Amino acid sequence: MDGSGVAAEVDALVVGMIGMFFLTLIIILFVVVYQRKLLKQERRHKAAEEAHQLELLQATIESQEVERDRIGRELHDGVGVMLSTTRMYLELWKEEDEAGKAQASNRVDALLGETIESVRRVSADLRPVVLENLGLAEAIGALIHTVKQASGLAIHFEAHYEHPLAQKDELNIYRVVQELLTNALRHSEATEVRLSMGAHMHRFYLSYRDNGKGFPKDREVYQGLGLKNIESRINALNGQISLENAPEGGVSINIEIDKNENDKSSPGR
Amino acid sequence: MTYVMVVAFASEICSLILRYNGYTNYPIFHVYVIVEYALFVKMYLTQVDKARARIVLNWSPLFLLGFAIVNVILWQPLSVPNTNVTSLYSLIMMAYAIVWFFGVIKTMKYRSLFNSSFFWINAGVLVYFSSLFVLFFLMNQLVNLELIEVEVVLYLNLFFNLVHYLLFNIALWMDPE
Repeated sequence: MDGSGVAAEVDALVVGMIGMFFLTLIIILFVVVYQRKLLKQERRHKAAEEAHQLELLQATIESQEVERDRIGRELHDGVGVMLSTTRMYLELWKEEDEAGKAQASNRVDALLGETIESVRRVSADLRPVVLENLGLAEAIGALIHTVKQASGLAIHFEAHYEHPLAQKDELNIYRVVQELLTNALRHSEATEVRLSMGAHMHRFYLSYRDNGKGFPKDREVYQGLGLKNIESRINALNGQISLENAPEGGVSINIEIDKNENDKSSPGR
Repeated sequence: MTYVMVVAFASEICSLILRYNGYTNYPIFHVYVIVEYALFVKMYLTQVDKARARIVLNWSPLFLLGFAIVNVILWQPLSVPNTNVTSLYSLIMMAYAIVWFFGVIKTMKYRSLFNSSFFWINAGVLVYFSSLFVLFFLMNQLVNLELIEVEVVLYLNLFFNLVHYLLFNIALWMDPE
């Protein structure tokens, strides 16, 4: 090999080694920069997730307050008024003659009956007796019956509920269904609702469809108090929820709970 | 890593002694490559959790040893530089370094890369072995083996070796254990 050939080969070697050195520097730099970018992204996601959780928490607190307010009003305006009236009749009873006493007694009896009914309604709202006695599928069936009678909404309900959830979780699902039906009545303008529910060994699902106007495009309205409540309840059960406008119109909501995951996250239950 | 540095130092001393006494020091490098690779594998094993990858890593020094023996018998006897084995060894080390970086990005194991001693080790491995790969691979393919004696090539190799051990020292300084 002549001198110029060797020099050219040395040049190739030197250029190759220096080129490779810069290439590795670029790789290392890329890894560092990219890792930082990913960390930043992760922090942003975490912050967004925390904000979302905070929103859910606020929605839960708000809904609890609304519920307390409703129960308070019910007790004050219903039970309170009826008990005051009963007391008034009892005061009058002392001064009445025999005929008046009999009339007042009947009135007191009727008022106490209404009071008992009112207290039963409040207590059933707080913890549905049918849920405890007969289970989730029957409780939802009873709820649907009540809503159908009061509203005329056509509701089709299908349940394959062979492996029940824990009672505490059933109450959450019951509340979710209550919220879904309330939304259907208040906002959806739907005439028909299809609800199906199933529980197998490891998986629970609940599917809701209606033929209403669907979710509004405005996300803030769409993420209103009711839906946030639903989401926070499903989160508490370690479940997944998907909410979307169905292609054929109306709303489609699917809820899935992995019972194993849910049990793992609440071992004390 | 301390073992790597001790073995490197010892082999350099042996090489120098042989060279000053008029003998070729290539046989030392035939052995050194395998020992150093085995030590690097031991180091990378601390970073690997997957059972299958651990098995591959554990057996790889034997594979390289087998290849080195075949290389000595068939192509490059102890009296010439073992460029085939060194090229393969460098390529494998580059792959480990790149896979480690990829794993770091994928798993986000470290919050700050600069605070991880293995980051510095890995950077040293990538910088040094990539240049070593070019040197030995090109020597194998393009140029005659005497080029290793050319000063500029020697100095370049020396420079990358210095960077390599400088980065290793940073790692040791950060986490002596």
